[in-house]
Amino acid sequence: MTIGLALALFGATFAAVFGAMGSAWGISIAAEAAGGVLSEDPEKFGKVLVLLALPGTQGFYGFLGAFYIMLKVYIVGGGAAIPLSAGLQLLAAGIPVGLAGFVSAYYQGRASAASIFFIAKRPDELGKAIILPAMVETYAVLGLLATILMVSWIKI
Amino acid sequence: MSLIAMQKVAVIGHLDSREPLLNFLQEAGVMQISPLPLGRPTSPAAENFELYLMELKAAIAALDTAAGVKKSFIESFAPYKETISEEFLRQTAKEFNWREVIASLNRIGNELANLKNLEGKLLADRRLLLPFAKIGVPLDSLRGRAQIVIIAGSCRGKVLANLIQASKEKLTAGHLEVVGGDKTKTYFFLIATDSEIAAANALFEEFNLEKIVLPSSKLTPAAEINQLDGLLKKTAAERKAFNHELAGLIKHKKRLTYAYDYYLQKNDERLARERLAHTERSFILTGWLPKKQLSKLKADLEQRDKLIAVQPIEPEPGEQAPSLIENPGIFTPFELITKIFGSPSPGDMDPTGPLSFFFILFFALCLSDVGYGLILAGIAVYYQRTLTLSEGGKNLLNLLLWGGIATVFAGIITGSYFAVSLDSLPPAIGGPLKSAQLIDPVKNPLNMLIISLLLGLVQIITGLALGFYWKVRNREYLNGLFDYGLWIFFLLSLVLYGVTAALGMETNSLFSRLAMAGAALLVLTQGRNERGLLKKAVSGILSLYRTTSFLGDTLSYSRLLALMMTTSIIGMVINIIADLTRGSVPIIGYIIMAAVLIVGHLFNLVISVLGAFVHSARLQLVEFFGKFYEGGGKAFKPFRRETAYTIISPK
Repeated sequence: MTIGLALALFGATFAAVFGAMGSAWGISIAAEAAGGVLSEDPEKFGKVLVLLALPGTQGFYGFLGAFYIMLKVYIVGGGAAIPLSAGLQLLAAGIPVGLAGFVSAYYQGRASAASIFFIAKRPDELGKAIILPAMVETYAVLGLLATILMVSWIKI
Repeated sequence: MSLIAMQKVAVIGHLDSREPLLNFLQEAGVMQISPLPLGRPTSPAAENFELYLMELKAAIAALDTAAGVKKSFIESFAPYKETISEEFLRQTAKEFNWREVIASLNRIGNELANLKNLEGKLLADRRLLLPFAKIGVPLDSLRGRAQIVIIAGSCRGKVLANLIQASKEKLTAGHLEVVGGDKTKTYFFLIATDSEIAAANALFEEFNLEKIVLPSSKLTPAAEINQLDGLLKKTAAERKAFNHELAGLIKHKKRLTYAYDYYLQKNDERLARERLAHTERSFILTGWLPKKQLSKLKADLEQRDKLIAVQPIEPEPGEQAPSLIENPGIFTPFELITKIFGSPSPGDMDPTGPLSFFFILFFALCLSDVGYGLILAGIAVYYQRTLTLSEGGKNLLNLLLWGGIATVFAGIITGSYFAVSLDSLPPAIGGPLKSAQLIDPVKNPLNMLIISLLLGLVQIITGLALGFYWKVRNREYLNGLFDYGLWIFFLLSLVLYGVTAALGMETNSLFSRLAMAGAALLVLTQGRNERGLLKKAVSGILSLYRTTSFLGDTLSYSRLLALMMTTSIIGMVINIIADLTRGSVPIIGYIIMAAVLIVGHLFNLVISVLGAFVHSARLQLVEFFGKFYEGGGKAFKPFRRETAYTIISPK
């Protein structure tokens, strides 16, 4: 295995781990709010679950970025011989989705918690409640996009 | 595809006609009743419907718990509702003695709570006595007597030896009698003379021992435990009897729900009545209804009752008509998206029609898998057939049905069939599928990114064009031209300039001049509402900054590519994992593979549909509506039959 390949895998690790950590954090924040609301009215479980799931996408975006890097370096077949500079480039490419996902998942969790309280009082307004946390997610999507474009353009 | 014209009316009539009128209006459900300033409670709350509703709801919930009814995930969105006639509902609510059921429920609830308390106490006593069961003396004689104290206690087994040693040293005439123990604790009596109480207590503190206060009784611990067991048996029997009685009440649940829906009608009727104004013998009711229904309602009401007159009236100064939008059937589901933002205010346009095309296109692109599209459409059809749905629920499922169908086409174009690699299929199948594939977003994301941004540009220009059209329709020609027309011209020139520059085409200089002309016109016109030349100039120049917001809006559509890739790559990963499990264990490997495929793809479908819905909706609400739609209307809420558990069949 070349050092370049190892660096590329670091990029994949960064993307997957930070996205997942952010989502775990964000969902736990929303889940705390959900627990409170459900203790009053367990019937709202379905609606609350939808809102709870929203900060979970960053974990997938991070995984997706990681997978894209893995595809690029052909890790299934033992890994291509990646030169050092390309490895560093792939490491850099893993950062946007990882970091943007990490921070945005936390804040999306807070937005979801707010929406869960909103739903507690106005169960008919699920549509509006879903849109609020989705506004935060935009920036995780942009991070993912940056990663994908970088990976697909990097020459190895 | 438009707002319905609304008409305000006044209905005046004799007091005797009031109740039949309210009944009729509730049944018809065409009119929203406005509160009148002179309106006030007419009958000083003869019956407290809200209290009834609360009691009934609690009783229904209690019976559901008793019956072990658990709502499924789907049911929490769309509970089953039985269809019954209004007559039957009223009859049941009147004849059925629901108050008695509620009284019984309350009584049983109290009794069960008392029994639970009692059982807790008995069990605690029993637990306390159990380690001392072998002692054959009455409990009362274990409390010590003149000059002797007996303290029951427990310690951790480990310290016992030390404790015995210490008790011998510290107490001259003391004794520590071990009576039993279990895994963690040893139980004992510490016997000391009166004069050494302080020393005995000091031992308890030193070794961190637990003092046990045994209940007082003339019986031995064993006999006492026996007696407690007898009592526990009795309480268990009583509990069983009450639970049995509770189970006997479960059969009333259905009728309780009828009563609930009946009083829900009654309460709505009362609230409507409070919006009316009265004289001694007459009443006046005002409200809004769709203009086209006025003549029918007027005819209906005045024919039914000679003591009622219906008159169209002018709204109060500053009063805004409620908004009701109407679209041809195929567009109705998309009203859901419009309503998330808010109904259009009177004089505004209904954006439902235009947004529906873009929404369904974006939704399909985000999912873009033939398999997922078919499953989604199938699920939507299945639930449409099996669930009792509200208006919103029907719309949502229709939306998902259309979305599923569109996704199939998007999937054919992107060559995605449960994210299976087309190269791995037999050429006879893979070949034709591959020739239908126009874009491969995973291998070539750049093309899809450009398509996404182009679609964004198309939607943004469409939004501006709609704004232009609406201004022209309202005869605000100059505003339309300056605020929308010029921007369309400028943005298009700018984009074409960029494209031709990138491709090195000769028309490049033409578009650069057009863009500059557009910019100059914008600087000249955008400050037209300001006072003073300087302010006009400054706000004209600053208006060009809006270009950056258009740029941002366009880039926002890049999410289409990202979501499309999320769906297909997660699908691919599921297929890869399934493939790995296949060979892991003979035969069982195939079962695991099937499980991974089914669970994995369903999971991917659910999160992808959620993402596709949310982000497609957001593109409509933020990027598209931002160009031409303000919302701000108050949704039309007619006075009608609202129910929680049943559907009242129309007469």
